[in-house]
Amino acid sequence: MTMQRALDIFWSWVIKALAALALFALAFVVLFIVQEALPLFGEVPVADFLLGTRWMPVDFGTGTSFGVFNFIAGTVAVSLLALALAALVGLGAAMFLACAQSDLVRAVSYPFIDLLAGVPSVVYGFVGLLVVAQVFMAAGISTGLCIMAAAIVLAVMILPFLISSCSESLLAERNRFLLAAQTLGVSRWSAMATIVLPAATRNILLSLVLAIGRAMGETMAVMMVIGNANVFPTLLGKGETIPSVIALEMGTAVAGSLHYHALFAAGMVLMLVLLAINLLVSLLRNRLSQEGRRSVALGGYGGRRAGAVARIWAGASYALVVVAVLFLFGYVFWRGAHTISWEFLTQPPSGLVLGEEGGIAPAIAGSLAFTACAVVLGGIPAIACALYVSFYVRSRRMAGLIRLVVQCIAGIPSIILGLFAYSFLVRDLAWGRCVLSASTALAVMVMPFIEVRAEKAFSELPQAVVNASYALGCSRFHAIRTIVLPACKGELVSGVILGACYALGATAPLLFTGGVAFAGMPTSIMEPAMALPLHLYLLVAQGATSLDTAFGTACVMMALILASNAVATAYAHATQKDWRR
Amino acid sequence: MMQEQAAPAMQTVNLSVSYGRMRALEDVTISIPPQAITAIIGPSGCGKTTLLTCFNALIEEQPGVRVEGEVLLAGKSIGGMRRDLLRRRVGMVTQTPTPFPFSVYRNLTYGPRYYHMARKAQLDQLIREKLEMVGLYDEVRDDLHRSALALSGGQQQRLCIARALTVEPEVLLLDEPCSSLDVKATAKMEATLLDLKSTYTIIIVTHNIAQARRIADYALFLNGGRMVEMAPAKQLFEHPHEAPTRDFLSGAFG
Amino acid sequence: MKKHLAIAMSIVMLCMTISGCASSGTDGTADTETDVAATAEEASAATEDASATAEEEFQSSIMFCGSTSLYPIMSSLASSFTNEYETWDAVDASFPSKNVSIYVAPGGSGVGVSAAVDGTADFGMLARDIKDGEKAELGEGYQEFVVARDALTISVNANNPIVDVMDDMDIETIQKIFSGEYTTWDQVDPSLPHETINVYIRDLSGGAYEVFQKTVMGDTEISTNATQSASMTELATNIAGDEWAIGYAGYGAYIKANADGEKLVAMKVEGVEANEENIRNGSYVIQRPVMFVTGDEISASEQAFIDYIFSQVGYDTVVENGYIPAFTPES
Repeated sequence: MTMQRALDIFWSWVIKALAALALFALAFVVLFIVQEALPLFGEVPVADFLLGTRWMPVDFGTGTSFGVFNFIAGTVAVSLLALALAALVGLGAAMFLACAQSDLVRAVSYPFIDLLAGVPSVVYGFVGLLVVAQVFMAAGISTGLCIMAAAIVLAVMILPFLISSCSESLLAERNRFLLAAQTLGVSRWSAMATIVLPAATRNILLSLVLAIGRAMGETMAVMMVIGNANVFPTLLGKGETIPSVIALEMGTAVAGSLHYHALFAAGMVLMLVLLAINLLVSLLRNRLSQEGRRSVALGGYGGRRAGAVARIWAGASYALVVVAVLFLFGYVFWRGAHTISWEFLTQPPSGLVLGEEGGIAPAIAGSLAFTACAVVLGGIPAIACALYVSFYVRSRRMAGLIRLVVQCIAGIPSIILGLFAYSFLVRDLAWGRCVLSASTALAVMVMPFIEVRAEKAFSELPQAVVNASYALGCSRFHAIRTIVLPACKGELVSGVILGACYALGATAPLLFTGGVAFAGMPTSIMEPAMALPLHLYLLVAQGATSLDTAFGTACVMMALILASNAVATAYAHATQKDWRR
Repeated sequence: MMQEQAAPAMQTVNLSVSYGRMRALEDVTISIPPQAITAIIGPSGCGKTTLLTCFNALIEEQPGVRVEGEVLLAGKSIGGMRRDLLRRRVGMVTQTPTPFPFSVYRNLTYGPRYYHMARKAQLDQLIREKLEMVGLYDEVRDDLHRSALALSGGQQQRLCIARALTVEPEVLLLDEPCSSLDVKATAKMEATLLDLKSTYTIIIVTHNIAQARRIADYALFLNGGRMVEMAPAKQLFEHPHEAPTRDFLSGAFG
Repeated sequence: MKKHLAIAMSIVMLCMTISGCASSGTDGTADTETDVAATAEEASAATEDASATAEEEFQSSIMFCGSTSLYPIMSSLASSFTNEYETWDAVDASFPSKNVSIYVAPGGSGVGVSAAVDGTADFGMLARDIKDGEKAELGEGYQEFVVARDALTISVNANNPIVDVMDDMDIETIQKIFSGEYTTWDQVDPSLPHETINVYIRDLSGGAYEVFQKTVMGDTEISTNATQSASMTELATNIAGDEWAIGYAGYGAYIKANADGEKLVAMKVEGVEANEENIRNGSYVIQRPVMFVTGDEISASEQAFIDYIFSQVGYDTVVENGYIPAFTPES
């Protein structure tokens, strides 16, 4: 046994162990949440919990009550409404992109629209509060906070996902059928409207279902705009979602109290629903690929008129999306640019009223600390998992199962990860509030994000190339080390950077686990730290006097994200060129 | 023989096509005789498909392509013609069968509906007529509403031909229509084409010399984007005029 | 074979962790908390040991956690303290030269107490009185430090016609408005228009909510239609932006909101006006202490910071943030 061979075997085991760790995380989080939720049902019958409308977790003399019906209704209402809005605009924009003749339009549009995906939830809530809510207020709704406002904000948040997955499906169908339709003399748009769109229906529906899952797990943005009242949701009325309840009341509940278990139970309900959605989609996807021989119900009707309508709809939607992106970035930069100065970036906050003077340096450093930690803790298992699925797994079923598990991890709302980290790491393991506790939650959140991208990168490498290495007798790990990793370096680094951006914008997991309102520059991972999104959230809560600083903070965050996106995309492009010559 | 007195169905005059700096077709001038099968043959990459897609202006759908010269349909240049009208008159069937993801019935009514060609009652008759023309009617008559995707490869390809015929073209272009079919399906396809040629002008691109020998009335040999030789099929295959043609037919390259 | 091994390993790891979790789980509150508090203290002590060299017990980092009313003040003080003395030996020559690290985490009064009890923070910040049960859980070493007093004003928007009709509300009326028994303004006084009353409150598990419930509502529940705000400033801003609003804006937030012109008008409660004098002498009943508590022994470094809090700087900070200091500065 040579040294080389021993090392190869060792590293192969490391990869497998890390992959197993990643998957184990899901099982553990789910089981933990369930375990902490169950004691509630010893005191409160399930029916009362799910159907009751009175939520009074603290006894003020009238007894306690734990009914989450209004929260469930609120979550569903906001998500469905957001989905409807996003589907209308997103599908149109996707049509536009899929129909576009030149690849350049797509090449430019995708990263542009992806910028929306990079904007942190708390910035969405912030802009929603200042713009969307104001519009509603001007229209007569008191405070402007309502279900509709939250739905609009949420719709913009899920747009990038919808657009990219729908346009992918539409593009695939377009490549199958457009040419044939054109030989009949059918115009491009007519063909898109009457053949391509109906053909892609099933995949689009699946994307919509997945998007609902994402919408339901959103915490910060919705919480800031929805009004937070325990009432049955109405369009222009207030409501409350399960993530809001958890975020607002998590730290208050005394450990082991019924309130505590009730919050876990609410989180469990949400989590199980999302898991069910993911499982459903996965099953349908498998059935779908086997059902390629069925014909599409709707389609072939409408001819020229459908084509004309589709063109207008697609064009308008695309324009709307572009406007939304420009507005979001433009507004934040316009209002915040003047706050940014060297002092702002390098000084800690100061002033008798904190935040009025000084800067946000510890928040920037803290955010970087959280992010770096999260990416290390989450990225390594993610890449290991992707390597395992791409190169080690032999049975397709196992690969499918692992992908399903990763997708389920992705479906866990970040607030629930925060809840888990708070309960297990901060309290049970007594790590206390620190960077490590928060980063672990962030790591679980970021892991599927990086894993999916890594897998995609590995799949784009032609199998023939890897096989050539095996044919020479090289071990799997050797092939990975010498061929796969260098070849996919660009995509991997890009994926990690984007994952870091994703972690950078997360607020909910930090709330009670390691983010603080004030701290010095971070010195150790066992201490807490400030973070940009949390800082923004607290500034917004402080009100009008801190708005300038809030905008400045938002600006810094957006700038960081823009820069990272640009670097990531550019690096991926550059290294790709090298490899593909 | 060669001297057909009838006006050519289609012609090209000094047709050149380039993709960027690459010349796909160079100065091609040909006449396609009507109501006959003209086979375009040549080695891989010689520009057969490019030439074919010039006939129905489908070449314009490709980005970055430049077309020079003229293409005439029944004597008139297609340059100024509305594309949908052009493609009604010049139909095309691609290499792999591409039935729309609808029922057989809806695949066939798609074109006529788009052009508001016929009312519902007439559609049924139209469909039957075209299906019989391609010899598919007996095979699908029991359930016209079943999915076209459930048909076999050969049946799908014949369906595509029938679909192309529903809009009443004058010319039918076929790009290696049998390349994804087995021997039996190929035989059926060739029989269909022979039946159709009395009504339509057929231009077929094929890499299968034997097939060209079997069904073509005229043959056109392309090489390196240039037209080398065009002649009645029998003449070209048995007594080719040009040296490259001879070399190609004898299997020296291709 | 390898696949099975991997699965088996996973299951074993899973079981081990679950059982570990269960044993340190949350069944039995009191026992667990002391256990956790004990391990937390050891953990935090261990952390400090890791960075300490000769001085084993010196605490160079202090953690405050809790009330959304107090954390801005404490953050400001932490910032200025850290700015002024970067290392502990600048505070007092007998201290080692370690960096000053003071952390302030928000979350609400409830969070503050929980954190102090389970040891994840050194001090819990509260904006209400401490409950007996909580005091017991903190143990015999319980100490409280009252920094300021805050009152909950019953504020309406300055444009609400009610300000011309009355300037005083009795407890009963307030109860009826906040419980949702009165839904429109004309029910409060017939001369007012028939507009919906928009009630604004703080979040359910915060200190303000509890104080209001205890001193005003008694056994009556607050209407579920009321809008919860995450902070006093937000609450005041909401009232200022809504003509038909009413809410219990904190005194400081109320003063701040009116800094650039009158936006809010505070009603007298049972004839007593909400002003500094009445708050100090206790005649304005809807008031609450703003304080921090702990159950552990105060270390030398903590004492140094506490002295700083109760100095002139602290006094000024409290006032600047809109609260009424509950102390007179020592220096």
